[in-house]
Amino acid sequence: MHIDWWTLALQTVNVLVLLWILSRFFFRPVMDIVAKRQAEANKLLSDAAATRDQATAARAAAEKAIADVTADRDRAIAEAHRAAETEKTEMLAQSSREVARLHSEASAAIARDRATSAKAVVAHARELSVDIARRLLGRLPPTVSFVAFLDGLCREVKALSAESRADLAADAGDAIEIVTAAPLSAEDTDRVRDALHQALGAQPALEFRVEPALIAGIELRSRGTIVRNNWRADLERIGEELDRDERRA
Amino acid sequence: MNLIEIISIFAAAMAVSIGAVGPALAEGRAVAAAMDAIARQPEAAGTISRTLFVGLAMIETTAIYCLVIALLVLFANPFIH
Amino acid sequence: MESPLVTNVLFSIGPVPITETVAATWCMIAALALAAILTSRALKLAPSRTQAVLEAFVGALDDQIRDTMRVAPAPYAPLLGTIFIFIFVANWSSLIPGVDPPTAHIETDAALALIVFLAVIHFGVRARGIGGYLKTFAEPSFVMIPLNIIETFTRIFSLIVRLFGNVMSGVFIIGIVLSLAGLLVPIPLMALELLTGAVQAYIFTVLAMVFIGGAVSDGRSADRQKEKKS
Repeated sequence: MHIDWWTLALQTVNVLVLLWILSRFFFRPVMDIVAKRQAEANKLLSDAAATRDQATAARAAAEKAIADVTADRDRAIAEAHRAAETEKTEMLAQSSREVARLHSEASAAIARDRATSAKAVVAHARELSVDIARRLLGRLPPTVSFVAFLDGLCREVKALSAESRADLAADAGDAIEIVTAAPLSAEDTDRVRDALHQALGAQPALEFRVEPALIAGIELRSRGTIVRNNWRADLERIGEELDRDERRA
Repeated sequence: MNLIEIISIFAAAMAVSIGAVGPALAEGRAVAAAMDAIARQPEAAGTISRTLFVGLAMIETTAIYCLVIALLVLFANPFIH
Repeated sequence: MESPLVTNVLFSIGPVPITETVAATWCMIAALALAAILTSRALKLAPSRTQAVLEAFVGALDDQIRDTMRVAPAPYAPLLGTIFIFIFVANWSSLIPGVDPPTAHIETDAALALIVFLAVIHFGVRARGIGGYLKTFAEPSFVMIPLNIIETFTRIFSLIVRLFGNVMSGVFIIGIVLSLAGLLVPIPLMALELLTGAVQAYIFTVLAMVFIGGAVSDGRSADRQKEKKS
C-alpha cells in the first residue's frame, strides 16, 4: 500500500487552514451573536425584574400611604368624636347647672317675694289695727280709758319683783316718768300719783309727759325699769306674734 | 496466473465472507433489541434509532476492516510484483 | 479495473505533486470559507432562518461536547465542529459527478487523525501539565502503561481505517455497480453511502471528543463516562 506523504502533509495543512477559517468566520461570530443575544435577553429579564421590583415598591408605598391616611382619618374621627362627647357632656353639665341655678334663683325670688308680701301684709295689718284701735279709742271718753289703764299699770307694778319695786321706790334722785297718750287733767295726775304711791308703798317723785304715739294707755319709765300698759305696746306685741307665726309658717 | 494470485483472491473472498458473518449477526441482534425498545417505549423512538444507527455503523466497521484487508490483498499485495 | 487505493497526480508545483484529493479539498475549503464569510456578515441579533439553523448546529455541538466531555465547550467547539463539517462535506462531495471524496483516500483520513492525535496531546498537556498528562498513561495502574501507549496509537489507527474503509468501500462499490448497470440501480447505494457518510462524520467527531475528553477531564469522570456508555 502506498501512502503519498506530500498529500498527507498538504491535507493536514488544508484541514488546519479550514479550522482557522471556520473558527474565525463561523464559530466565533455565531458564538458571539448567541452570547450577545443571551446577554440581551438577560438584560431584558433583569430590567423587567427591576421594573417589577420598582412597581412592587411603589405599590407598597402607596398602600402604606393609604394606610397612613386611613389611620389619620380614623384618629381624626375618633378625636372629633371624643371632643364632641366632651362638649356634649360639658354642655349638659352646664345646662343642668344653669337650670339648677335658675331654679334656685327662681325659688329664692319666690321665697323673697312671698316674705316681702307677708311682711307687707303684716305691716298693713298692723297699721290697720292701729287705725282701728285709734278710732275705737276716739269714741271712748279719755278718762274711762285712762282709769282702766291705770288699774292695769298698778297691777303690773304690784306684779313686779320686790327688788324692782324697791328700786323704783328708792329711786329718789331721778324722777319716774309717767308717759300718757293725752295730757292728763290735774285730777287724773293726782289719781296716778296716789295709785302709784299705793302700789309701790313709797312716794317717789313723778314727772308727766305726753306721747300721742302710745295711742291710749300709760307707761312707767324709770332708769332701770319700764312698765308698759298701753295699746302701742300691745299692738307691737301682736305684730311680733304675727311675724313669728309667719316665719314659722 | 500464479499460485500467489490465486491464493490472494481466495483469501480476499474468505476475509469478506467470514468478516460479513459476525457483523451481520451483531447487527441483527442490535436491530432486534432496538425494535423491542421502541415497542416498549415508542416515545423514545428518536433517541433509540439515532443510537442504533451509530451502533450499526460501529459494528459495520469490523466488516469494513475485512473489506479493506481484502482490497489490500487484491490491489496492494506486497508479494506480487 | 483501477485500484481505489491509488491517487492521481494532477500537476506539480516544484517538487510537490498536487493530487486530485488535494485539489478537491482546496475547492471544498474555498466554498466553505465563502459560505462562512457570507453568513457571518449577515449575522443579526434577530436571526434569519439560515442563521437560526447555524445557531442550532453550534448549540447542538456545544450540548454534545458538554454531555460527552463534561467540560465547558468553548475551547473545543471550533476544532470538533471543523472536523465534523470537513468530513461531512467531503463525504457528500461524492454527489458531484467526477469528484472522488477526499476522505476516500487514506492520506486525508490520516491527516484528520493526526490532527486529533496532536489535539489530544495539546489539550491534555494544557489541562494537566506534561507530568499530569504522562501520568494518565499509568491509569489505573503502571502495569497498563504499555497497553495505554499501544491503545493511543491503535485508536488513532482505527479512526483512520474506519473512515477510510467506509467511504472508500462506498465509492468502490458504487463504481462496481455503475460498471455493471449504469442507470438507476446505483441510486439506493448512493443514498446509503450518503447516510454512511453522515454517520461516519458524527462517529469520527464523537470519538475525537471522547479521546480529548479522556485526556482533559480527570480519571473518575472518565470512568463514569465509560460506565454511562456501556
